[in-house]
Amino acid sequence: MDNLNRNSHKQITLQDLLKVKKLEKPNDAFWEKFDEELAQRTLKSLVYKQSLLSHISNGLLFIFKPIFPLAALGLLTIGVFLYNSYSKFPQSHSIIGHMPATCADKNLDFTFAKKNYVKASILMDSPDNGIQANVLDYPSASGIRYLAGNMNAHPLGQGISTNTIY
Amino acid sequence: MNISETVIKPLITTSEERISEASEDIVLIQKIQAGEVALFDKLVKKYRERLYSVIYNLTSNREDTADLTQEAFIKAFRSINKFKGNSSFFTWIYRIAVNATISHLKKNKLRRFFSFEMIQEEGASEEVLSALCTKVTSEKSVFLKELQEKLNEALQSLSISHRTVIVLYEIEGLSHQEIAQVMESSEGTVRSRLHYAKQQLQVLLKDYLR
Repeated sequence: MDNLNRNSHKQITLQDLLKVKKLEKPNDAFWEKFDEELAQRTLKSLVYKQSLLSHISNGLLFIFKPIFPLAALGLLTIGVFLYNSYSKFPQSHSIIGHMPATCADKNLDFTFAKKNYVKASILMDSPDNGIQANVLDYPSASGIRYLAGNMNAHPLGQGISTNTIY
Repeated sequence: MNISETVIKPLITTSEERISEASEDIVLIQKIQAGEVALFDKLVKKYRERLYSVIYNLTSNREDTADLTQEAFIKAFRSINKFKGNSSFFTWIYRIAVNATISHLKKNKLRRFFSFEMIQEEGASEEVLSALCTKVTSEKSVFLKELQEKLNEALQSLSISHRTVIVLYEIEGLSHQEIAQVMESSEGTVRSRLHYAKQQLQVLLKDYLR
C-alpha cells in the first residue's frame, strides 16, 4: 500500500505537504486543561517570586541582625555628639541681608559670584572657629548678583580672616 | 481575476489583519500595564493556538509543546511591563516562544521522539486533504499518518534555525520581515535559510512529491 500511495500522490507539492501540518490541532478538552494549568502555573510563578523576595529579605535580616544593635548605638552616639556640638550656637539670624555681588566680591570668593549657584555654604574662618552660612545667590533684573542668607554666628568666631565657599 | 491577484490579495489581507490585530493588542496591553491584569487572558486565548502550532512544529512533541507554550505566556505576563510597543505583540510573543523552544531543543539535542496530534479533518481545509489523498476513507487515515510521520522526520532532520524558518514561513504564514523580527536576524538570512530548508525537504520527501 505504501508504494501505491506514493505513486498515486506524485502530484503533491512541498507546499501542499506542509499544509498538512496546519491540520494537526489539539481538541477543545486539551485547551480547557491547558488554560487551567496555565492559570495555576502563573499563580505559582507569582507566589514563588514573592516568596523568593521574602526569602532574600529574611536572609539579609538574618545576616545583619547581630549588627543592628551596634549600628543603632553608633547612630545614637553620633546624634548626641552633634546635638552637643551645635546646641552651643545661638539662634540663627540674618546678617547679610541683600548684599550686591559686586560688593560681596570684596569679601567673597569671585568664582562664587560668577557661577550660578542656587545655594551655597560659606565658611568664614577665624583663628578659633568657623562660622557657617547658607547663602542664596540670585541675579536681579538689572543683572547684578545678590547674596542673601542666614549665618550661624559662633560666639568664639571673632577676627574673621578668610572666606571659603562650599 | 488573474493569478497575481489571487496570490497577492490574501497577502494584503493578512498584512491588514496583522495591523488591526496589533493596534487591538496595544490597547489591551496598555490596560494590562495599567493594572487590569485579567485582560491578559484575552491575549492568551487569541494567540495560544498559533503559538502551540509553532512550537509543536518545531518540537514534534505534544507534552513539550504544551509546557513550552505555557512557559512563553508566563514569561510574557511577567515582563508585560517591559513591552514598549517597538514591535507588535505578535512578533514579541513569537520571539519569546521561539527562543524558549530553541533553548529547549538545544538542551535536549539527543531526544528524538514523535508524538502526533490528531489531524482535525472537520472544518479543516478539505481541499488540502482531497488534494493529498484520493483514497477511500479506510486508507486515508493510514496515509495521513504516514505523511505526518515523514514530514516530522524530515523537519526534525533540519537544523533548528532552518526548521524555524520553514515552520514560520510555510506553515504559520509569516512574512520574511516578520520572521527576521522574530529571529532577530536579517531578511537576507531568512531568505537564504528558507531556500536551503526547502531544498533539503525536497530531497528528504522526494518519494511523496511531484
